[in-house]
Amino acid sequence: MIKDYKVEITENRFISGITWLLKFKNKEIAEKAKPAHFVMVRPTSEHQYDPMMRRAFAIADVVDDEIWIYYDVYGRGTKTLTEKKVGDEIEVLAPLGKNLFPENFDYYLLVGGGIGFAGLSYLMKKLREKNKPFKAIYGVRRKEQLSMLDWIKENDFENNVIIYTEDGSYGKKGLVTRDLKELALENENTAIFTCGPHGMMKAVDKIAKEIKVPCYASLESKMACGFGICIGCVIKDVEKDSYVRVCYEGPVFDTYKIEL
Amino acid sequence: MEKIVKPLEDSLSYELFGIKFKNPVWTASGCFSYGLEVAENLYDISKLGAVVVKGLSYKPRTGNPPQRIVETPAGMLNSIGLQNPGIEYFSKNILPKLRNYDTVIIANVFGEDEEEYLKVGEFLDKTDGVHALELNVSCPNVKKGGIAFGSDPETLYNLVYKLKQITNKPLLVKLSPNVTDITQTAQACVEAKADGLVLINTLLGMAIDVNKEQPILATKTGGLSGPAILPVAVRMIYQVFEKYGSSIPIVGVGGITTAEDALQHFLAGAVAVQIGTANFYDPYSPLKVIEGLEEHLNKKGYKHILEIVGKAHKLKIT
Ligand SMILES: Cc1cc2nc3c(=O)[nH]c(=O)nc-3n(C[C@H](O)[C@H](O)[C@H](O)COP(=O)(O)OP(=O)(O)OC[C@H]3O[C@@H](n4cnc5c(N)ncnc54)[C@H](O)[C@@H]3O)c2cc1C
Ligand SMILES: Cc1cc2nc3c(=O)[nH]c(=O)nc-3n(C[C@H](O)[C@H](O)[C@H](O)COP(=O)(O)O)c2cc1C
Ligand code: FES
Repeated sequence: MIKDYKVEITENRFISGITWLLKFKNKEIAEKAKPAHFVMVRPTSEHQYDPMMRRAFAIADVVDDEIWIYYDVYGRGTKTLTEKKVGDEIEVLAPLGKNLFPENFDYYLLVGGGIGFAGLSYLMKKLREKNKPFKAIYGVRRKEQLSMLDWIKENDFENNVIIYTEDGSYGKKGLVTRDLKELALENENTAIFTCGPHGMMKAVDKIAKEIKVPCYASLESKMACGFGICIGCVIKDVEKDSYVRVCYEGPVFDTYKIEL
Repeated sequence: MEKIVKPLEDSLSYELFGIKFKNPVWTASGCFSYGLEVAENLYDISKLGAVVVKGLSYKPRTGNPPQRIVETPAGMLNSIGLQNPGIEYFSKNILPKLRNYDTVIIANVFGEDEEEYLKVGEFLDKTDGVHALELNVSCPNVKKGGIAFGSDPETLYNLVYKLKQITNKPLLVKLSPNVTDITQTAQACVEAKADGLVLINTLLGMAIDVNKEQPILATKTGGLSGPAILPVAVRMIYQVFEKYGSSIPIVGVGGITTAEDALQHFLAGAVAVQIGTANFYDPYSPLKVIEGLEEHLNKKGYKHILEIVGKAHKLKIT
């Protein structure tokens, strides 16, 4: 069941680049949360209508009863969110998303770009818990955009993560796709899971198809509701030749079946 | 009022068009899908007065390409393009599940031309489980039909008249606010013997991306909804009630989030209200409105919601 929770903020601070980290405590969400689940956060208080729409964010981590969200600040919704203080109450609709990452592979190659890495981080934890082998690629333009670097270190994931920066200011120089082919072909029965900017996911999908490796993308879209009732967040399903809802038929899609 | 609506014992319930409504709070078409997402994930939709389902056409429609929605000050624009699986799919696969809930089911219908409207009407007339029809003649997104039916009183009269011949179910007509004088299209519906009026659909609008220097929505224009349009809806309900309030029931929709917003609709002349966009940002909004209306009646010492319908008119300053 989805519920609209009133939760108390336990942390809300600037990390680096344009990224902030928001934390709140809720036992029920923590118990229900699975990788690729997202939440819709109301940036204003009840009875304030501007900005009106909730904003969608991935559940980046769950630590005890605390939910972690990494968010990039672009417009009025996320700017309003930065003004929230510890102890403030916010409305959070959760957990959202019906179709999550499949688990039937022997090896997982995660490819996250920018803030999209926050859509894969909780999965990394769960894969480790289940002893499933994986590697994660984390790509950004510049070093300041590596907002989840501390999280990677704190969680001892340094050996699982390969970092790429476009300007070479940290890790390997280049795009996330630089060594993707080789990495994806290293192990049998590998699947690529990706989350990030649209152009990046398109490039990842192209390579996956070239080498015939299964590829699943956790997608973003402009969402008004997040739970299937507005039909605003659609993407083209090429198999069904119709528009399907990212929030309800997704957010994870087999890229072989959709038009990215 | 008593002539068209019969109050029942509970302060919010009444009989309208021969249908019993447990309360006057409905969900608006296109803002609640077909009801199942909420029923299966969020709350018991039997608590609602009625569910008006997403617009249905005879044939399935794929809808418009994305981007379909954009936020605007205290509102949003949408250009969904009436994506729907068609009436046959709806009646076979969705309606049987929806009927498990004890609420009134109203089908919002549209067609690209008169022929399609009539075919949908004919089909749904025979469909058990659909209590009433709401005619969408005002959706501004469909290039071919929509807009013309809703803005030309004569075309509208003809359509409503013909539909009344083929269906015995209550026929409500949802009017477009994108006209100079809403009472003219309302009059056409009254003359064609529509059973009710629904006011208002979305207002035509546009938003431009200042960096890309082009309209944000793929269809360029879209329908404005949400708190921003509340005063427009209230004004139009008021105008139509003033002229035709004693001869046709009005259902108010537009900009309602809270009971206070809904009360403005009732006082202007609505016998029922629909909640649209608020479902997106405040999913429990319809339930909160029901609760808030009860509280308001108690506080003010009213026995029944019908006592306040159109009450704002009695305070005319001369
Ligand atoms: C399922 C899902 C999960 C998501 N998870 C996360 C997450 O974990 N962290 C996160 O930071 N974001 C995430 N997003 C994206 C996030 O929802 C948007 O960035 C956010 O809604 C933008 O709100 P805003 O108020 O900043 O911008 P708005 O007021 O909506 O827009 C202001 C301007 O910024 C532009 N803009 C908005 N969003 C973006 C963007 N993402 N990239 C580039 N330009 C943009 C708009 O086009 C507009 O011009 C997710 C989205 C979805 C659908
Ligand atoms: C995303 C969306 C889809 C809609 N789809 C329909 C529709 O299919 N048929 C219809 O008659 N009205 C449709 N509407 C209009 C609403 O039913 C309602 O009249 C309008 O949004 C004003 O009410 P609100 O401000 O409470 O949203 C839609 C509105 C929105 C926001
Ligand atoms: S955001 Fe409303 S249906 Fe997906």
